[in-house]
Amino acid sequence: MEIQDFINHFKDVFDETDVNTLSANTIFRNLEEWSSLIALSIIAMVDEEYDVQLKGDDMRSAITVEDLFNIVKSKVE
Amino acid sequence: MAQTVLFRDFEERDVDFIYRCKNDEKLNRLTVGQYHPFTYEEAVNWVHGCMGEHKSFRFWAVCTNDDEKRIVGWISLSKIDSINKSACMHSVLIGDEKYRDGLTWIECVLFLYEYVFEVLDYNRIYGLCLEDQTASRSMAIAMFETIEGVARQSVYKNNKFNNVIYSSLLKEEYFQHKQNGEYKLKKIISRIIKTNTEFKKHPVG
Repeated sequence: MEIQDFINHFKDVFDETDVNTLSANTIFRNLEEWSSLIALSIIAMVDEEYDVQLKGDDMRSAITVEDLFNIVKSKVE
Repeated sequence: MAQTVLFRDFEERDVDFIYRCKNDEKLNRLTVGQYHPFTYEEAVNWVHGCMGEHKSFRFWAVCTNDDEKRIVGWISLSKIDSINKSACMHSVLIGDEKYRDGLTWIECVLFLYEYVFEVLDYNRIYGLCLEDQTASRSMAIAMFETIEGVARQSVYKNNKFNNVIYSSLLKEEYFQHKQNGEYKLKKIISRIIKTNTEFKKHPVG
């Protein structure tokens, strides 16, 4: 599981955000487009791509995209 | 799956949170109601007004699922009608951005359904949202609510007249879908994403 693949999947969820600005260090909750719906889209993406079911605690404990990647990775392994 | 949030009556300690939320213009942009800044005294009165049970409306503080039970948002029913066995889903508002995880939102809606259909034993719940609010519309459809119609340009908000969408769910529909396992989290999320994708393709209608 590579972080760049994860970031690419993460970018696919956004419509209005300039995805070129998204990186491992992005604090995703600060993005203008961030919403409950985007969060659900991330949860759905993670489920589909990595067969991991994220919980509310997982979403809340992550600050950056990399944090989220590490949570998903820990559940895959 | 463990609940992300719990629901409790309003308490005095919630005033600061309500004061912040009521003065957050961006947050209020998404709702059907009109925005106006709150004084601290208005926030105190608002919280007091939400406390307890009332004949025609009911508010709950959405709070963290731990010992602290810190408020992160609120939900409410209005127009609780004991003759026609109907209630309006008046608000679902998540003020704490960390709880804008989508899962909290789903739990709030399911809680209101359960309260109306299983606690009150009512026949109908309905809701309304701005037509632009595709997330709310996606949620309504994903929860099997039927779109009843459009109140054209009925709310002036965000510097324009907005169409408002009305949707509803009946008791028999709720129990049928629940029995079929359609209100499992994974299924709801899948339907919300699918519906929202359709809205992106066809924004109006």
